Amino acid sequence: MANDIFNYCVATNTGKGFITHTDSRKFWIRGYPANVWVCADMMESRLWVARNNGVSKTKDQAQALVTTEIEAAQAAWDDLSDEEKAATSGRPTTITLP
Amino acid sequence: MATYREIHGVNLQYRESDATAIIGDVWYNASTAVLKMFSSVGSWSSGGALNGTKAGGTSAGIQTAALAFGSAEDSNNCESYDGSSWTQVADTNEGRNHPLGCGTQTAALYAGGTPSSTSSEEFDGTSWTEGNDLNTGREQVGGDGIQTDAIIFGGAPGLKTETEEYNGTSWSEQNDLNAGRRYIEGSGDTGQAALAFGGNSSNPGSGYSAANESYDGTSWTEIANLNSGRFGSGSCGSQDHALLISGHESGDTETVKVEEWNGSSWTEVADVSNGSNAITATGTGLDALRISGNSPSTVVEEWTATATVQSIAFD
Repeated sequence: MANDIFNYCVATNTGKGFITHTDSRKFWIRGYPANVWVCADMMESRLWVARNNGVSKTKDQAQALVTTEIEAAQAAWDDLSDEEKAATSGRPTTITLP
Repeated sequence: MATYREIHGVNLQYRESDATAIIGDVWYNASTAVLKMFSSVGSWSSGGALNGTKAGGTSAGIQTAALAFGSAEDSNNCESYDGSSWTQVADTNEGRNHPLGCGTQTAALYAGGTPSSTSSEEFDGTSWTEGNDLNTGREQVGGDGIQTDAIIFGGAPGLKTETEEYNGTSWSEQNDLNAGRRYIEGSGDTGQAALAFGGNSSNPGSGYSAANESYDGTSWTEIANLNSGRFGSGSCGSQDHALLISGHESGDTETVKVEEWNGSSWTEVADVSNGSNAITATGTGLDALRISGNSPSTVVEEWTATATVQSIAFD
């Protein structure tokens, strides 16, 4: 669901053809945990959401999905031993959507 | 501000016609009175999704004929890419993550990896065979090359500076990196012409290195730094034209930024759509694959760039 600047949706990355070179040249797009995608709100990005069967979300709904996924990943990291933690590149960090 | 001469070591070329250029070259065409440059413009698109995660893994080959193998989960698994989809092929003999991977889809090399392994394996397009071991066991390494002429450098435990070259038969000690780093990135067509850049310069802890070193077959020289220090990125390309893709950046963020090396300096280019760390990448500076990462772990993105002569206009 758009907020004049961005639109937010949940869509499954189906691989080849999900984002094309033409898409990425036409509009700004970012993927986040929980299959959340944020696009610059314009006609081309709305068509992209429809083409990929995306489900529109408000910013708050999208943020809640991302936060839930990150908190689960942080809890999993916290449960690692010190040795296992040292082998990782760090604790998953909190993400704030634009 | 640095001058063109200070960065490139030469003055701007003054020519009667356009140059046969390499990426990054700038010249003044006197016959048309136009300042020109040879640069690449690229973008990312979705590639075929992996069958299983390759987070912390490595890769070999080109955009349309690649291998992905070695990862933190399902670590013996190896997948082959044809430019559209991934197919499982023969497992590696040992499962290791954050190793060196290089070479081609039908002649790949797989060395080191967690836990501080000295193991080295070769792939012939059908199966993996044990080769002679590394001299120094290590993980979170950098390296590049082909199966008969490769290099491995840096890594953990600690912050390794050791460098070894592979000649298709055995690994031999070479001169060390100037700055030891783990999760270090590398590019190069052979073991005799490599770049080592980025990485984690403290263990444990943060330490987002922007350092960049060039190897001439004998020793390492510090050259122009990255714009953004980071580790856990993906990297590919040659000593003259390389990409650094995503990774863990200062502020504990997983950046979507991509930097392109033109032989002299790093420039930020189009972002990937998913920022992550524990990425691997393969291909050239013009046609590359970004493979996997911590989250989402089966994602693949394809970089395609075109190198063109552009006129530079001034307002």
